[in-house]
Amino acid sequence: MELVYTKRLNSLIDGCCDGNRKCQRELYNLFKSKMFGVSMRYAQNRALAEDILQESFIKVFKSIKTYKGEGSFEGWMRRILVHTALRYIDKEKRYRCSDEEVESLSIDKSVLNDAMQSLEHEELTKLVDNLPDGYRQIFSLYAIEGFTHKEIAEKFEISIGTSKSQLARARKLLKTKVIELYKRSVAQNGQSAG
Amino acid sequence: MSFINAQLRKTVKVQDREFDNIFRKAARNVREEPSKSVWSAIERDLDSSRPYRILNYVSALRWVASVALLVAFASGIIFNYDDVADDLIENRAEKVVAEKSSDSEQQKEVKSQGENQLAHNNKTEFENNDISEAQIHNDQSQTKSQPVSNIAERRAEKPADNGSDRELVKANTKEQDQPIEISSDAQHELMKMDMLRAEIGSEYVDAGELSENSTLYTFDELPQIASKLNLRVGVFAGMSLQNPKVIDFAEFNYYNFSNDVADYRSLDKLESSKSVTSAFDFGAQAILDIGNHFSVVSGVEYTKFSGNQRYYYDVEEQVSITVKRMIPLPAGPPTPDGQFQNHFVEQEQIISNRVRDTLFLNYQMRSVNVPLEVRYRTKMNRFEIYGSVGAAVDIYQSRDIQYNSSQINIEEKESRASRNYLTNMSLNAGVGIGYSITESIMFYSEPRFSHFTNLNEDSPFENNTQRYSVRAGLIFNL
Repeated sequence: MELVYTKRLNSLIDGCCDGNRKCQRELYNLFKSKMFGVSMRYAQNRALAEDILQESFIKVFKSIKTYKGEGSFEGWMRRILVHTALRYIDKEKRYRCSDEEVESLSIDKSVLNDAMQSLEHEELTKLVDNLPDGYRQIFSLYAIEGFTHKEIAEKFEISIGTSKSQLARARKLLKTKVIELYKRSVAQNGQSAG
Repeated sequence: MSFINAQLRKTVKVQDREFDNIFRKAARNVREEPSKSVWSAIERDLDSSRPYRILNYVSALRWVASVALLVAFASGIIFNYDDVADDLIENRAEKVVAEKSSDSEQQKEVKSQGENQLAHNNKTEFENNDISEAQIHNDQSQTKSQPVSNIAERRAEKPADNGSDRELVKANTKEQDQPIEISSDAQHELMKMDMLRAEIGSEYVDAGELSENSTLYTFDELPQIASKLNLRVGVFAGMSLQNPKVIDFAEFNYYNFSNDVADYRSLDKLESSKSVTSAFDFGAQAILDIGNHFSVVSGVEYTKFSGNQRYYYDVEEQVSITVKRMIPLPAGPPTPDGQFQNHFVEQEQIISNRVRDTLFLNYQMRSVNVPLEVRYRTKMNRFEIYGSVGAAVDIYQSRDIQYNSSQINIEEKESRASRNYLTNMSLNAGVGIGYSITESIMFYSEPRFSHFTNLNEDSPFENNTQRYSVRAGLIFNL
């Protein structure tokens, strides 16, 4: 399966390099839902997410010849999309969080372990989506997209230390949310069992 | 203490990495469907910066320009030919008259009398045409001696209308040894001719046409008056048949990804059933007549294709299912709080299947066609027979396609906006016959042949398809 998929993907990339519209369309159909999922994580609304998706794919098709086959093609596309998304995000809305509230949170690590094992992927991603804009962006860039603190600092025009501390706060807030969700689901299960 | 802190920091780092990894896996499986307009917008943007499309239009324009040049060249030849022909007729006529005049005194006298008469009536153009009263006398007597309605006999006289033959006829009449005198009738005819010439602006007026009975001409018998430019307009409707394999549907790949299942289907061994695409078309045209035989035709034609086709194919279905298993961590230092002692391992299972299937296609397409053609025509009484050749730009508008099979059920609608003005070129040829119902309305029918060439790789047409069509319509003289 993987071989068939890779072979087909390579032929699509070759077709896109030649400007073949059918290949471009097939490549778009192949990745649109994944990329739109990424786009939705950074955009404030669906319309903006579609704008980001559109511009990203145009960049992909125009610069596809620069893809040398090093690393996964999907990863290459994701980076283009994330860079595009960051350009779209209003600077004022970047990384604006009430740090004081996060500092005061405490985490029960034993509960967190159970929570992480029991929660579904959809539930976890929803928690990320519901983080405040700044935390969500920094956590997504670092934890999901694999950006370094240096890259994040350059993108957001902040210091590397600030990026690290914001990431730590984002994680803390996320862990708290995970535990809260887990406790709620346990309570609901207990009620339904009782 | 510092060692414990370092160990703790390391442990926390590992925990954070595991924590991030779980979110990474969760986030990378997230899929959302964007609206269909996104692809249209991408395509528009790509097209706007696509050089080869410009080349396509350049290519189309080159074709049209070539045809236009051909028309212009042909027109130039026709106009030039008319002028040269006029000069030849006049020169030859003068020569014939001069030769014949030198043969006998009587003929000189006749010419002299004729010239005097012309001078008297201030008919300089008439002199150029070298029509003497002797001819008038003879023509008139001939005309009077036969029924006016006898079209065949009148036609026998008509060569004299149009060229040097007329002068030969005149010369022959002069050879007859008949007494010449300018009668009052002849003078009257000369005046009538002068008035008629002034009215119709033609220098070729046959005295035979000026008989007292000339008012009895029917529509069929009206003398042809050479008019160099004439504009006509027409409307038409028609039916077409296009050869099979009009549309390239062969590229078909189907992907479906969910969280744990990747479904990939590709079509193989595609075999198309024979089918013919039918089309209905209608349009309007403008015909610019240049001289008596040539015309330039252009206009606009709307065509709606529809058809259905069956494809037999093998579908190779490969479904990949990713199964998650939890296995214990390999041996190593235990985490202090016992977190993440297990981790997930993903195992891929592939189910492969090959199925024979039939795909039913129903499609409709619409396009607008702008032709430019050169036409050669000839008239016989009320009938006009013609042949046309030329080129046309075919601008694709939209298509609706339904794919149905046990595996796939897709309905696809594409508009011109998303296809970005696809164009084809066609070379057209046709022969037609027209019948004049009245003086200003002609009914016509025309079988046509078109050969299409793709200018765009995204075109729904295959390369080098042919279309056979028949159209019928009305043409109005303006």
